[in-house]
Amino acid sequence: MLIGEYMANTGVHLNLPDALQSRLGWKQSFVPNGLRSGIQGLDEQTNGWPRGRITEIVGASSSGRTTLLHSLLAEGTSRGEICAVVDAMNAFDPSTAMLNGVQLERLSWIQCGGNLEHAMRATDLLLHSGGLGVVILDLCDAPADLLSRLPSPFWFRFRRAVESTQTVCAVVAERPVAKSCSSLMVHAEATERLFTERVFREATHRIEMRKPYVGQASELRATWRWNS
Amino acid sequence: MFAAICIPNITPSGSIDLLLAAKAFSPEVENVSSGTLVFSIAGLGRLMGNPGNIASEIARRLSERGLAGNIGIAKTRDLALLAAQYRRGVSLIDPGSELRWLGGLRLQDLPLDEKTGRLLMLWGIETLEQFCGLPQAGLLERLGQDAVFLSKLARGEWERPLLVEREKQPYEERISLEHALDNLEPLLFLLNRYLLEFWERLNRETMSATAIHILLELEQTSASAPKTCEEHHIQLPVPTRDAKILLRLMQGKLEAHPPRAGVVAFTLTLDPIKPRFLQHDLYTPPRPEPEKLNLTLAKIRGFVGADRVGTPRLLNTHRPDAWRLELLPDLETKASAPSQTARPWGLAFRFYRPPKQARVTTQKGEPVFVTSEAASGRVKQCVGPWVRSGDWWTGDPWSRKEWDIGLDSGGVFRLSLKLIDPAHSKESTREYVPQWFLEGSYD
Repeated sequence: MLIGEYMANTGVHLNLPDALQSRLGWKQSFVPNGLRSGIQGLDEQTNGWPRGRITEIVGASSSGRTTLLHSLLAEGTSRGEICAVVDAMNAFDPSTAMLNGVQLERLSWIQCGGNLEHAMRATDLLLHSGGLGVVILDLCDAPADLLSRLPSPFWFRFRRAVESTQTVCAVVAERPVAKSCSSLMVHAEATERLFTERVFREATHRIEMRKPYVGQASELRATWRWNS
Repeated sequence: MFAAICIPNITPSGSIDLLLAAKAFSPEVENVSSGTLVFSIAGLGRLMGNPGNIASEIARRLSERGLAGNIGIAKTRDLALLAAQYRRGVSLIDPGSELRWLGGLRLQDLPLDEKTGRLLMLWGIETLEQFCGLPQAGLLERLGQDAVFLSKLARGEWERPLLVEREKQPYEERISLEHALDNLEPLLFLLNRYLLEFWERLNRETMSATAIHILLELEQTSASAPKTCEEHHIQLPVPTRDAKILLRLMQGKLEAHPPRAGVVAFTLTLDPIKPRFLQHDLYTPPRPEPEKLNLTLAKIRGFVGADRVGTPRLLNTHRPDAWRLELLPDLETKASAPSQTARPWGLAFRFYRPPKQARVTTQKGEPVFVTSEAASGRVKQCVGPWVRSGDWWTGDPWSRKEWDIGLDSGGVFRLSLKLIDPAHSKESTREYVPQWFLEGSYD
């Protein structure tokens, strides 16, 4: 009997995808609420940084990707979660992170001194240990040839390790590295820069969601603060 | 049965003698206050006979040490103590005759709540005997637990165990080996054996370990060579008594710093501490188990380096990039409402550590072209200089001029001009040379 005929005869309305899923025993994937970024526009597009997924933040130098990284850490630590930064190139600046609202006492910082293999191993251990709110793998400024040589099974391991947890796993790099393993990719780009007499005063960045593509961009404005 | 001794106005040396005299009868002695102690005499009947004989034996032992005091023997600890404190000489309180002996005790001498004591005084009740004459049900309704305590005490039914202070044994073991151990595996096997003993003790004494210290005595390369030792200290941010975690931490430490020669002896020490108690609630955000996180960080320290993992703490100085790494503190997690409004963001900075040396072409004192390992190009925008200096009053002064530059390649960088001493010469003969550095980028 055809499904349409069955529905007409019995008066039962079948939602086909749900019905198929329940018959075939497919597991409904659980998508928890994301972690807000605190950036207007981005939260509406992404519903926050997704938990249990890999997010990629890509952009060239001075494109605002580190400000995005800070926003993630600030939101995670202000919620009382323990966060970790795996800093491949020893570039993280705790001073500006604190000015952006990161509670440093809830942050674990792992410096890998340019050794990408150590960075990947450390991220793997952190994701498997579980319970962390945010784990960030910062690969910015890493040499392109080393980035291209990163073994792809690592990304599948990360995706498998993080998928059943509440952890936000973010990879920050100049170009996409996790590829099909990431579920969200945000591209950052510098649009305006304001230099005053003595300091670099303000930068405006265009933040665009590339995966899934929504065709909209939001604006992130970062201003100079004392100690920046 | 319990015996209590009370000697008023005792000297400090007399207190020690008193304790030693009591220890001759029982190892379980509670030192209530200076000159007052109570101990169990259960089982002494077979050796010394009836309680009267035990009391005279206690009096004899006291007189041998030049002491004389009141002795009370009763069914419960509190009755024996009251008898010794408030009756002269030897008081033997037989079960069932408690009120005859202690009925005359004033209520103000008993450990009673002040409010209850005042209320009983208003009722005209002054002694324990008068109190016991009151109807029990009514007392219980009006006074609650205090009435239960007093009536049970008067009948000799109020029982509580002795609070015995035990001597603290250090958690330390030193083992000398017949043959030197060259490999880590047999060493860890032996360490684990003694760790398990400590673990049993920790469980028995309801304690946790907060630090592990390992002292390795190494084999001498020649007879004349001095004895060498290696010390390893593992500080746990969260106390634990999980033997597996402690062993893995030791393993990680020793694998990162293997002994330079064969180990001929080792000393394993644990720092014990009261364990932490946590009650989770439904609204606490997720966080890793502190022991598990600590173990993970220890594993990471094993391959990235011990000084490269931790929680950053900013130093109280104007020196740029001044921080130190500390252990992740065990903070309470408090859930906070997510921020609903977009917050203002500050410019984020990324450091090059160490700063990249740069070749800079200047025009009228301003950089116009920069070449360095990190970034090169024509300077499109340039602001500065921002002159900064500090710590000139210490042995490690610093000073620099800083420019914020935008390169035509796209990035915005911080360029600094520092005076450095390339020869690292002594203080008096220092010759400083200006040197350009790319400090990092705004991102």
